[in-house]
Amino acid sequence: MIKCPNCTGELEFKPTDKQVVCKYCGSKFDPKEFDEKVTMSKENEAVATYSGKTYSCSQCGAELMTFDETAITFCSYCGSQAMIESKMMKQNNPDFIIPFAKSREECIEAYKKVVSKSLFTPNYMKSDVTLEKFRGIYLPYCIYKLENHGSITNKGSKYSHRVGDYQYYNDYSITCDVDASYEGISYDLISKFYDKFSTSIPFDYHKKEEFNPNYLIGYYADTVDVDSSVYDADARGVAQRDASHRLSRIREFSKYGCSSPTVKLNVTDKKVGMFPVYFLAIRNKDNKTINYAVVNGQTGKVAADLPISFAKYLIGSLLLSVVLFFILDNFFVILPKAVCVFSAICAVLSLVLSCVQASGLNNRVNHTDDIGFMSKDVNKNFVKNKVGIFRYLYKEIIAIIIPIVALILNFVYDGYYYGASFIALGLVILSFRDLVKEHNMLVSNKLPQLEKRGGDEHE
Amino acid sequence: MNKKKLILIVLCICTLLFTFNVRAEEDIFDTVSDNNEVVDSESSEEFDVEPTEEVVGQYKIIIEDDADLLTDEQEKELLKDMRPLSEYGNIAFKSISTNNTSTNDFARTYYHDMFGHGVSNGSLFLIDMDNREIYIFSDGNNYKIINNSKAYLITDNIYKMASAGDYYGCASEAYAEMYTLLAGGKIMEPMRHISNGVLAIVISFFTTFLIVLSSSRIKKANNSEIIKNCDVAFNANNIVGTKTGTHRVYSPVSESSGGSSGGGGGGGGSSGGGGGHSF
Repeated sequence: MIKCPNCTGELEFKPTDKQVVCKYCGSKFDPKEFDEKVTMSKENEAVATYSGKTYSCSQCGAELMTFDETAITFCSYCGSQAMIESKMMKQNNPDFIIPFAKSREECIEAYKKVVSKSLFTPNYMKSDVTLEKFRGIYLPYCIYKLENHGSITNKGSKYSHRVGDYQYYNDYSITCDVDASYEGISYDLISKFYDKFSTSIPFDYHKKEEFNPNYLIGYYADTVDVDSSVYDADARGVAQRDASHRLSRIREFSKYGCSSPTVKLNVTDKKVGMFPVYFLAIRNKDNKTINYAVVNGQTGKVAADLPISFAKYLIGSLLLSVVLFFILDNFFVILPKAVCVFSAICAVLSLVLSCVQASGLNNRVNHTDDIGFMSKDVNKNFVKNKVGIFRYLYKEIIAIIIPIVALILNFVYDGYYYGASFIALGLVILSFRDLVKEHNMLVSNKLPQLEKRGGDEHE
Repeated sequence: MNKKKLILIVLCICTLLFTFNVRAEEDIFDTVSDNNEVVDSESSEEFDVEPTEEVVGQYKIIIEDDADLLTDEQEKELLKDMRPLSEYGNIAFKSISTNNTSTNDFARTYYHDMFGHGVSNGSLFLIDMDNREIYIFSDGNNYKIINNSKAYLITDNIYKMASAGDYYGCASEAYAEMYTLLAGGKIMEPMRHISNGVLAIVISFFTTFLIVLSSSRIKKANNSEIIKNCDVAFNANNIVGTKTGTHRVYSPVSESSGGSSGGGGGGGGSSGGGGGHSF
């Protein structure tokens, strides 16, 4: 561990100063020029390396490196406090690093700003005790370079003339020389860092720095556990979509009737970079699920799982309903049959929302939208969950049927329309409890250790 | 969960049974009223009903009970009930046992036949035994207050009396509620308030949930956001298009192409409007 050359105090990289600062005497050092590097590479080693103390989580198996005297007291992935200190670990130097540009305080402020906009978030998500758990972690990312320097051919078809009932089109072959290069499309190389987070906080590749381990001082770092080829297709997709978009804006392509030209790009280089992320893991009361919040340590962009407090949701809805009642009662006359029709429509909307939620839930619990997680052999056999789409839908279905039956029977007495509507609307209101529950499941993640077969046994 | 499901299913079955039961009751009631109608039509054939007409100031009061739903005594009582409304405009009661048009059309035509085809202040309460519908039609200043919505509300409040055969009570209550409105008062609409309340709750539940969805979901960075952060060099030169052939697509010319010009403005229609309820 490196110490301050002036007072042997603990050092930390301060994003606001962009310097390594001593916590005790306040001495500042430029990380690029500071001699006391954490790197352990020796002259005779072929590959430059850096090293740090490693802590592993006895619950989920995550391994985090630290570069100062501070012990890691809890796991940033599962929130467990069972961190075991293990030996010093050496890692190959990555090609680049994007240093932290936002301080922990700025990150907490950014998170608070996002949470404050979400009116119904439970209080524990914004309590000071929770926010204290934000940790700055450098995560390894794969940075892609994709290129195409050559000739490409596309096909086009342009309307020419009409003869009788037939329209004639001229077919064209459009060739052009393309000189395309995309560098900086990046994907995380950690299976525990879900893709939904990594793809929502993009990093500015232009501000990368040459790797220097002094930037790591005061932060944690994670190590690569996903093969870099996993995201090749995704990176190619991003670059090719942009290239096609650029080509389609060229007048000649529209002139020859080619509205969506395609360009194939090849992955020519891949590099590894350490990117800065503030990470927060909040265990839920059930002790089986966890909510994550991540803040981009470079840009301050936040991505967070924000559950809903049903009590807050209820109060908010009832307050709004007072305003709506005033408007409805004073400006609209809704006849009993119309109430019946409206209640059936509400039930249908509620059914659609439930189906969408259930489908999202299936994707989430089975990680179908998380390539990094599924790429790990150990995760390929994780406990598959089935979320029954019709698990909660019986209320909505009954709520649709009752008003429709009332309308078909065409009663004279209004009371029956009101009765049918009230039953249907009551069921719709009840279904909202399920919708909120589903939403909370959708924004929660199973504890990493519970995703494995027999994972529950560790609890 | 199973208990809840069971309760809900029982509730639904009860609702359905109840609704079918009510339907059956209505059928019985329809038979009774059909019998009444026969008696009424016979009596209307026996008696040539003369309309009761009274002029109060500049406005007229008309009672024309063609379906013979009211006794002489009840007609006199109804006249008393209608008099306060003559402060605001013409006022009429009409009952019919046969009607070849809709209740709405009949009310409109009858009102304008009685009180002139221009805009005239006034209201009509119609009992259409043929379509089994009660209807309130208003015009002029009365229509500004007893508009379609209010007419629906009044008929909603009184249709049960008509269903029970209490035609005088039904008409009397209609005039009383019309007077309350014209005098600036408010009428009772309990079911409407309750249904508005429930609707307001459901709409607010939807609205807040959609707000929650939009504010608490993690949004994936889009393509342009990713590309903005990358080093991109893109050039396309020497673009050459070579004609390789032609192809044809069957696309018959539509016969209906070339639309006619829009129609002119409509003629002057009759004013007024109203609303009703079947019974």
